[in-house]
Amino acid sequence: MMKNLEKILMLTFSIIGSIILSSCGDNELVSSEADYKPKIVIEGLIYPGEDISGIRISRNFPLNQNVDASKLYLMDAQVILTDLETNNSYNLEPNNGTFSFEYNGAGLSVGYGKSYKLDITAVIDGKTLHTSSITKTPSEGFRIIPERSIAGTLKYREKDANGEVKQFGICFEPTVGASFYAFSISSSAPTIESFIFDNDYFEIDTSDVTDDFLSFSQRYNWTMNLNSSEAYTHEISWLDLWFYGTYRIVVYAGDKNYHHFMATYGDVQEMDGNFHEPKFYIDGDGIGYFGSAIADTIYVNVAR
Amino acid sequence: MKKICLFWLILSVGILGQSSKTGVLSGYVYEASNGEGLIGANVFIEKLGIGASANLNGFFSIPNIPFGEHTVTISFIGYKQQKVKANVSAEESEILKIYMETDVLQSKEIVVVDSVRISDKLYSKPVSKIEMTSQQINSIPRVVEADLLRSLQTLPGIQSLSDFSSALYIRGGTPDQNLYLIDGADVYNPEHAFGLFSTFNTNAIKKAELSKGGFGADFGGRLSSVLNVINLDGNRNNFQGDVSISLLAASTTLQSPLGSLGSISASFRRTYLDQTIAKMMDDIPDYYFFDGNVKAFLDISDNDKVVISFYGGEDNLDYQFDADRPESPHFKYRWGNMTGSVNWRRIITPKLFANFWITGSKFSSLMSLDEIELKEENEIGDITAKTAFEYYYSGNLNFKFGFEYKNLAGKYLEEFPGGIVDISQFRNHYISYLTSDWRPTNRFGVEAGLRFDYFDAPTDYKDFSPRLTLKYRLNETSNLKFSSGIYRQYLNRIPRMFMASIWTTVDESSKGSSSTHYIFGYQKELFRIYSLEIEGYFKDYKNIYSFNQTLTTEVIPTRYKDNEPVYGSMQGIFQRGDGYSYGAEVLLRKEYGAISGWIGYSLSFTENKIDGLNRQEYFAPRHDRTHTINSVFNVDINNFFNELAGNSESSGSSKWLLGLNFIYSTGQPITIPGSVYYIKPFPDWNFPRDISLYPTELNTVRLPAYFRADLSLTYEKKYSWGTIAPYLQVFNISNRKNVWFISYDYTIRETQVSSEIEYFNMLPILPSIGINIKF
Repeated sequence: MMKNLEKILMLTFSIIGSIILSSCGDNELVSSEADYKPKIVIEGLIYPGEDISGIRISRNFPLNQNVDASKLYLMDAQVILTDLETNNSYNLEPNNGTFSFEYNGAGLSVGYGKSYKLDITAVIDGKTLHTSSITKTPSEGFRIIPERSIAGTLKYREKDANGEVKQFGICFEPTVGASFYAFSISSSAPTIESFIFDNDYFEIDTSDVTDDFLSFSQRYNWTMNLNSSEAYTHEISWLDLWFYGTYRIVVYAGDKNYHHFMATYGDVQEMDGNFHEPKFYIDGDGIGYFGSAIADTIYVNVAR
Repeated sequence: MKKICLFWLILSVGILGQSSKTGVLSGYVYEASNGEGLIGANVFIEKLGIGASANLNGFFSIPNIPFGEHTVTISFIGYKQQKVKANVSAEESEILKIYMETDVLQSKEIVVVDSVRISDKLYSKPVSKIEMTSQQINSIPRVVEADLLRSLQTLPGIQSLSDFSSALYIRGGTPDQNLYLIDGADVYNPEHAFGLFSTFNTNAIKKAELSKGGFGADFGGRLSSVLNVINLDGNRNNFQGDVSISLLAASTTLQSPLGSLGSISASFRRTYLDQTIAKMMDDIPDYYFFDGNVKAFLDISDNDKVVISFYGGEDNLDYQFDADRPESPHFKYRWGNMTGSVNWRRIITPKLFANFWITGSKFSSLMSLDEIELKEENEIGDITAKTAFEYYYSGNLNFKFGFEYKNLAGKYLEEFPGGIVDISQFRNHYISYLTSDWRPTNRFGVEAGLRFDYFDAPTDYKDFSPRLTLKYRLNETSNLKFSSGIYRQYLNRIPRMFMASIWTTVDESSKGSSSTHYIFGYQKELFRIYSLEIEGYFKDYKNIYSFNQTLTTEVIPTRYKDNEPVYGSMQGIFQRGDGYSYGAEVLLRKEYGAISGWIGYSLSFTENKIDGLNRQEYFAPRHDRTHTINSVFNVDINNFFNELAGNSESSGSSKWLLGLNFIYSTGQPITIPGSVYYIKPFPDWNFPRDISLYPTELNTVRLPAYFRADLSLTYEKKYSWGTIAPYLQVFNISNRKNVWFISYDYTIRETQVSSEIEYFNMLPILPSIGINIKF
C-alpha cells in the first residue's frame, strides 16, 4: 500500500513540479554595463575641390542611461587632418554654431584620388582617447547627367502609353575609386497636408506620419560595384516618395569608408535578434565614419 | 581514384574467395502483423554461443556453423521469443523467414525482463545512436503537430534555437552539419512552415535513427550527425490505414499488400489554415503546405527485394501587405523537397548481402516581392548511385564496404534593383569505404573503418577519414565504449530565419571542413528495466563557415549584364573559422511499463573563432547552452492503476494516456550593444537624425534560462474495426515567457534620450486538440 502511494505521489509531483518549475525563474535580462567603453564618434566627409567643414566629433553613451544631448559634442577635441601625399598636417577649428569642425586656413585643398588622415584626441569621462582614420578620395569624373535623367515633374505613379508606371531615373557618370553611390532623397517642404495618404501601397493615418515624419520625408537608397566606364541610371522607387512637391536628390559617390559605414551601421541586429559588429575603418578609440565623396544634386517634382 | 577502386575490388574478391567447411544460417526477421523487416532483432544459437542482429532490412547471417540441425532463438524487446529448428548443410542453405508476434503483455515490465536483456541491446547499439519510431514520436507532447525533429530535441545533446525552429543543433554543431536521409536519399532543407516543423510525416515513419557523432565509415559528408529515416514498406498482410486530424493539418497513411508481389504504403498530409481561418480573417496570409510519400516493396524472390520510394512536399505562401491596395508589396514564396530512391536488396550468397541504390533529391524555392522587383530562385539537388555490401566472414568478423557516386547541382539566382546574383555549381563526389566489425571475445568488440572522399571542385579534395569504435563488456549489466573518427564536409549553408537555407559547395573562396570526434561512453542496465547511458565527447572543427553579416562590403561582381553587376561566385559570402565543443550527457530511459520515458541531462561548451569577428577571439555561438535537463514521461493511466492494484495488464477496450515533457536549459548567449551614439549618415539631412547601437564583444551576455512544460492527454478507444484516439495537447502549460530576443526602444524628449529593453518572447501557452484514427 505504501509503495503504491509512493508511485502515485511520484507521478503527481512530477506533473505539478514540472509545471511549477517551468513557471518560475527570472525571465528578464540582467544586463551588464561592463561592455561599455567610451568612444569618439566621427561623422565626417571631405569632398575634392570643396572646403573642409561639417566634421562632427561626439561621444557614445552607456546603454539604458539617459543621454544628455548637451554633452554630446566634443568641441574641445584636437582634430588634425594630414595630407598623406605632402605629409602636411592642418588643425581643424571648432564651429560652435554648427557643432562641427572645419578648416579655415588657405593651405589645404582636397584633391581627387588623394589620401587624407584624420587624427582626433579628446577627453571623455576624464580619460584621454585617440582615434584616426584614412580616406582616399574618388577620382574626378562623377556627375549627374540631367539630359539623360528622368527628372522634372511626374504625377504620382503616372503611367505611360503602355500602362506602365513611370519612375524618376537619375543617370550619372560613375568614377574610379567610388565604392558606392548613395542617393539622399529629401522632400523640400514636407507637411501633413502634402503627404500622399491615397497611395497605392499601405493604409497610413496622420499619427503614423507624425510619429515617423523624418523617415517619410528623408529617405535613401544606394547602389554599388558599378561599371565605372559606362553611364548608369538609378530608378527612384515610388516607395521612397511620400509627399507631393519638390524633392532634392543628392547623389554621393563615396569611398570605401563611407560605403561600409552606410552598409553596416544601421544593420547590426540580425533576424534572430542577435547583434553583430558594424564595419568601421577607424583605428583606436573611435567609431563612425571619416570618408570622402563627390556629391551632385538634382531635383524632381511629384505632382498631384 | 582508379587505384583506390582497384584496391577495394581486390579486397572484395579476396574476401569472397575464402572457403569454409562450415555452413551459413541466414534469413529475414519480419514482424508478423505487417511483414515489415524487424530491425535489430536478435538471432542466437545458444549451443554455439554465436548470433547476429538483423540489419536495416531485417536480414541476418550467421556463418561458420557446423553442419546439422540447430535450435535458433529469435528475440526482440516487445515480441514473443521464438525458437526454430534450422538445418545447416553443405548444400545451399534455405533462407529462413521468421515472423515475430508482438507480445500481448508487451508493456508489462516482467515480459521485458524475460525476453532480452537491456544491456545486450545497449552493447550492440552503436555509440551515440538514438532510435525513434512513429509511436514514440506521437507519444511526446507537441506543438499542434507531431514532428520527428521536434521530438529529437527532447533528448540530451540535441538543442533547438527557439520554439519556432525544428532545426537540430547537435553537440555544438549547426544544422548544416547534419546529414538527413529519407529512404537512402539526401534531404537538404527538411523544413515546413518556416522551420516550425520538419518535412518528415510522422505516420509514414517506420524508424528514425540518429547518430549524434562517432558514426561509422559507411556514413559521411557532414561534420556532426546522421539522421536516417526509414519509411514504412507497407503492410504485407492486410489493408491498414491511419488518419490524423489536428488543428493545423490532416494526414492519412494507407498500407496494402500487393498480393504475393509485396506491399505498398502511401501517406499524404496537408495544412488547411488557408481554407479556414485565412478565408475569414484578412490579416492571415494564404499559406499551406502538403507532402506525400509513396513506397512500394517488391518481393521479387527469396534473394531479391526491390523498394521504390518517393517523397514530395511543398510550402506555399501568398501575402499582400494591404490587400485593398493593388500596388501594395506582394510577397510570394514557394519551396519544397522532392526525393526518390530505388533500392535493390540482394542476397548474393548467404554470407554476402548487398544493397544497390539509385537516389535523387531536389530542393527548390521561388520567392518574389513584386513592388521592390526582388526575385529569388534557390535550388540544390543530387543524383546518386551507391552500393553497400555486408559480408559475414565468420561469427565474430563482419565487413561492410561500399561505393558511392554523387552528382551535385546547385543554383542560386537573385535579381534585385542594382544587381544580380547568379551562382551555379556542379560537383562530383566519389566515395568508398570499408569497415570491419571484429569481436575477438564475447566481451570485446572493435569496429575499424576507413572512408575515402574525392570531391571534384575547382580545388579537388582527396581525403581519407579513419573511424574506430571499441566496445568492452564490463559485466553482465554494464559496458564501456569509445569512438573516434575524422568527419568531412564539402558543403556550406547560408542559414536564413524563416526562409530556406542556401547551400553551396566548396570553391575558390572556401575550403573543405573537417572535425575529429572523441566519444567515451558508459552504459548500465539498472534493475533490469532501466537503461543508463553516460557519454563524454570532444569535437574540434576546422574550416567551418558562418554567414558574413556584412557581405555587402565584400562582394565583387564577376561580370556585368545590361550594365548591372552580376555576382557569380561565393566570394565574400562566408567567414571562415575554427572551433571546438565538449561536454557530457546522461540519459536514463525506461521504454516499457505503465510509466515510460526518459530523463536526460547535458553539459555542453562550444566556442568558435571566426576570421574578422570579435577581434579574432573565441566566442560562444548563439546555440550554445551549458546545462540542459529534459524529461519525457508517458503514462498509461489504466495500466498504472492496474499495477497499483496488483492486477494484470488491462485488457479493456479503452485507455487514457498521459504525456508530460519538461525542459530546462541555460539561456542562449547574445551580443548586446555596449553603447549608443548619434550619427547623421548624410550631411544634407536635417539634424539630429539617428541614434545607433554599437555592439561590442560577441555573445558575452546570456538570455534568461529557458523553462517549458508540455502536457498531452489521449483517450484511446478500441473497436472491432480499429481505434479512435482523440487528444488534447498543451504546449508551454505554465505560459512562461521564454525570451527569444531583445530589442531597444528609444524615446527622445528635449535633451534627454532614454532607452528601454523590449523583450520578444517565444510561443505562449498553446492548447490544441486532434484525433487519430486507425483501421
